[in-house]
Amino acid sequence: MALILENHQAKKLKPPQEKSSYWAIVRRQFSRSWLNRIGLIIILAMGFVALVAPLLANSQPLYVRYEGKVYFPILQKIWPLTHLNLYPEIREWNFDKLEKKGADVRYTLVPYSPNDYDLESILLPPDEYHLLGTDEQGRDVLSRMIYGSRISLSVGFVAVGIYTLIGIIIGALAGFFGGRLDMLLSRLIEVVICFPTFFLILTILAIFGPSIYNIMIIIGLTGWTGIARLSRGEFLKLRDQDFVTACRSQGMKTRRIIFRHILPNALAPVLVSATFGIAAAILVESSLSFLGFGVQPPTPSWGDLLSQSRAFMDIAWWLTIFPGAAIFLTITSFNLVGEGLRDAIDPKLRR
Amino acid sequence: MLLKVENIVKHFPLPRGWWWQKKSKVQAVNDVSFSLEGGKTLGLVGESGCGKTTLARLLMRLIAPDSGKIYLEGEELTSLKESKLRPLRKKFQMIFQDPYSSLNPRMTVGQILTEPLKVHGMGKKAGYLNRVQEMIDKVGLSRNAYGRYPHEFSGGQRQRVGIARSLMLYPKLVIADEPVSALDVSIQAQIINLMMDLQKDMDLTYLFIAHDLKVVRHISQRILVMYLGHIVEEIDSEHLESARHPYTHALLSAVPVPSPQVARKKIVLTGDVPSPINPPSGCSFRTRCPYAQEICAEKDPFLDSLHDDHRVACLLVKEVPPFSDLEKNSETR
Repeated sequence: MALILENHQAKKLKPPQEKSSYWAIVRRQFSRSWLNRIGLIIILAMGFVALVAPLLANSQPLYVRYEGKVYFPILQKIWPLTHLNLYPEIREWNFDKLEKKGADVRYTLVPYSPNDYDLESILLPPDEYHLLGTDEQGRDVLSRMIYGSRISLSVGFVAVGIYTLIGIIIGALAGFFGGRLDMLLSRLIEVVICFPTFFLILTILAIFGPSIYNIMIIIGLTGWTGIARLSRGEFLKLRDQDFVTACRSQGMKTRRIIFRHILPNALAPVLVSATFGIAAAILVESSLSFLGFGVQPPTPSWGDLLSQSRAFMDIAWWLTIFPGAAIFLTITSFNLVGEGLRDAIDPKLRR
Repeated sequence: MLLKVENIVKHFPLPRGWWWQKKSKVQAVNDVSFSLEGGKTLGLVGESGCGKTTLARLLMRLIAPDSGKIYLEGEELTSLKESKLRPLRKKFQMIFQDPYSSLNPRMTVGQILTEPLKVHGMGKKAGYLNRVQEMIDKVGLSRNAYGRYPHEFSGGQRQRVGIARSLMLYPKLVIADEPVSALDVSIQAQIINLMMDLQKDMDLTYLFIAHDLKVVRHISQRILVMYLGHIVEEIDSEHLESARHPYTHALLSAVPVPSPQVARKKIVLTGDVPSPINPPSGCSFRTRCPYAQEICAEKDPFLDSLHDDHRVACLLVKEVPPFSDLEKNSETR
């Protein structure tokens, strides 16, 4: 509260000029390159698509007006509204017949749900109805890909979120307190680095059954070593800087020094590493799904789509190309953004 | 007495290479005692590596001494736990040498200056802004400094921020660890004058550390000369010319005289400072002392009063003339 007040008052005293906070400079530096901007836009777009997937691809109409009443049947498919019985009368309706009776029925951009099979239209190449074609069960590929993005991105963000948190905590403890604790934690890091993550995941999934949550947790529990080493180094470097000494001589508590003074300075390189980590995690998830250890059918994921497409590669190129392109594009974008960030936080490259 | 330091010792143990080797240690501060009156400035000079900064850190209780006592306003500090010490910390604050690493680059000047107030819960939150602005004015920064980041300022301005930060809690004692060594000469004078003005204004007591005797002499009433962890001479800055210790002579002769007519005889010390890991026996200065005799290797000198306000740690103090006499000789030559 006090901080907000101060900032507010500070603004009153000083007319807003060009912002010069660290992150404002990083943002300026980052957006210098159009490659970085494109990468960021693609990631944001993917995130948006994943977030609003049910509103983009749904076999339920977005909007129906029938006999003077307005319905939004799509709401029945959106969690958590699925639990409410919003329109008990709608369940039996056939919207095609309704439309012929003169109802105003509007669909979403992709009027197919990811698991709607239609055996009369199997393996259709892209056309104006199925923009990216259909698979061997007549399911719309675009719709499945839109839902697949939710799996890929959530695995990326959740797994990396878990391991960034673990990594920062362990690295901060090791770097700030040093001594024996540092020795102990550094050895722990070295032990964990030796785990062959991919095979560990395969083993665990074989024991506990394939599940996307298991993937997230295992990547999260084994992937933190890089972040821990990075933040250990940053803390080691920063804790002996004079401004930290000044904090101590003011009588500040260790918790405040770590979280308020050192952590914001140590965060930038960690963030860069995390960005690359998301790309890696998405790739691991796709590989596992490709091997059949990821999400279970019929839930779509990009790796799973690729895996299914193998049998029809010679007759249905669209089944392979589009999910493959989605994986490629996402990972490339994350890597571009990661590299852009890395350059943006590097003061030597600053102009 | 505001500050009284008694026989303080700090040795840093070195990691030993092999288990059969003897454990060695850096003797950074060796048996240092002095006291400081409120409202005065005590200068501390000595070449790099002689333990000045370690002494400052000991006094700030950033590191614990091996032995010895520190009294601030009669209160003994070395035996206090950190939790007990914390509320007392607002009485003694520090100004740092490097104006670049001493300010948090992610915080605005306003935030940096508000931190001490928050940590010590000084007064009402609503009053923080006014107190910070008042201090910004006091140290001669422009009013819009509040919302700006340290990297937008020059070295001298940053040092002003550092001074402001150390004064936010209205301390009694300010330990300035080479506050001007990293600055241009023209800026040095500004900062020193600012510190002297603030001293009058806020009734501050300074322990002013520097390696430049000229600067120390300008701001201090008394001067301590340090060599290899020992205090070798304590003298009023007015009577600096009557310094008796040969090391102080060398320092004095290095101060340039602002007159082309005067040819000052330079006392150039030979050799390097001995390693504080393995200091020479007896007087630690004997290896470079032009007056050294056999006795210097055998007996430890101690800081002995020559007059009321003049203490020298030299076994041959009777044989070493005051610096002013040396000067006369060199001029007649």
